[in-house]
Amino acid sequence: MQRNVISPRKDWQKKVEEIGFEFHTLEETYWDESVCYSFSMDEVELIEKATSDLWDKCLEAVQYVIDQKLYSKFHIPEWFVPHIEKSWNDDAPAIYGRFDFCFDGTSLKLLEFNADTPTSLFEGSIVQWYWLQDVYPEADQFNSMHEKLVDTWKYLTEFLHPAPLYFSCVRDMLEDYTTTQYLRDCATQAGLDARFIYVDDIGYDSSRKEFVDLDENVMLNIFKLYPYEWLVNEPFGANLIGSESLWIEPSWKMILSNKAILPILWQLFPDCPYLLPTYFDQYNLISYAKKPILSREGANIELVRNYYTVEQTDGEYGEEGFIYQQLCELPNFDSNYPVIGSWIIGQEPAGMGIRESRNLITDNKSRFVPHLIE
Amino acid sequence: MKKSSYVKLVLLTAVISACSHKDPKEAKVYMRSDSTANYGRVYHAGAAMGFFYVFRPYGIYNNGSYRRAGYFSGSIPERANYGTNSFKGTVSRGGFGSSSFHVGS
Repeated sequence: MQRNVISPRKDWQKKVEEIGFEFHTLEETYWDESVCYSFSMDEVELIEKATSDLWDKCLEAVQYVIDQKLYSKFHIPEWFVPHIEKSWNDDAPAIYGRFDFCFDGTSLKLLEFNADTPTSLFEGSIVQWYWLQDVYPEADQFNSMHEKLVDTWKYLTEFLHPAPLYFSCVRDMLEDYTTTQYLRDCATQAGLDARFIYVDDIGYDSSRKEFVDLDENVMLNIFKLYPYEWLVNEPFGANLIGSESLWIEPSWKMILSNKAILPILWQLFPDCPYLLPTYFDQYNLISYAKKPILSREGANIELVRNYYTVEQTDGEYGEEGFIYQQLCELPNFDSNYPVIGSWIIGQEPAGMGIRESRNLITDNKSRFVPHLIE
Repeated sequence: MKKSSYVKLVLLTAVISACSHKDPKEAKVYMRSDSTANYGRVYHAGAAMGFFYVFRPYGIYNNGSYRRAGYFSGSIPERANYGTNSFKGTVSRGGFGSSSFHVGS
């Protein structure tokens, strides 16, 4: 694994905008093609194997949580448990997830799993692939995300209600909108009747007890780029129970998208080489990452080395509780710290994206950096 | 790892392109969709995103006949959509989407 400083394409902004990538520059540069990472095939195969192995272990962990009724550790409201268990028992279809790894070329450890609303999908699937074609056309990339998304939507067709599939996200946020429209694009290519509606435009018909679109048609299949912990706590949340709508991701993903799954995984698989010792309390850890069970974009995380706090972020999360994960510091490449986001799509490893930060905690100021296989 | 060097995008480029045409001036707009509702400030930056405000009819069927009750737009406040009109039907909106403005994880 190497970090390479390279020259960006002369008109890179125009090139990425031509393929629909408009949020390449936020407050600072987000898409950064002045560097790239190169990997050997052995390294990529290790990432691929870890992704596949961890996905299997995650499914076992979900079954364990359900069997043992550990919902309170996840701060999941009791009234929503039947929805989760039904979605699990019905094999409700899931499309994707992103494992975040600390990887230095040899040692690979899971930091967290973004199982419900993972972002950076479009950058990973499309933008870095086009970059590769322009800059290193002879090289390869760990990236079959687009093909797997189209194939997975095709496969899922028979599990959906015979009705349109609605794609939904928050309003006025181009990053979420692009990710959602990209997924909709893949579903369209898979032959589905894929429609779009903003999440706040979703209606609820109290007489039919169903969610409806702006023309008051019942929405039987809904993909949402909107986390369950928000859905269930909003005014329409209680209406999820009793509605026939099939939600993607399914509600059993609420278990995997919660960092409380990390101590459960460690408890179940202490010999797994990809897992870090993680607990619901500090236990015997002297160097650890303290993370809220529900948080986003690196908020409210504290890194402690030998009992001393070395880095800390603020935010508004933490009231639901924390987990303590043995400290695993991201590799340092000239004061740049990359985290590997490895995608599972349709139950298979599908590719990766790299986000690089100037701190050990990867936050919302991280940059997306392309990669290639040497 | 890819099957081909050509990746087809059907919808995305055109849709995102439409979003990027920003309106440099943002005029304050107050409107209501129901004549019995209050006027409310349009909060949605839809104009800046290149979209128009869309009003869709509300109504109910009663004994086989349809009765128009008013209009709804997601681009104006809820209080401007819902007045005292008793024929508003049984659909309510805005029950999702209030937790945050950005999902990223």
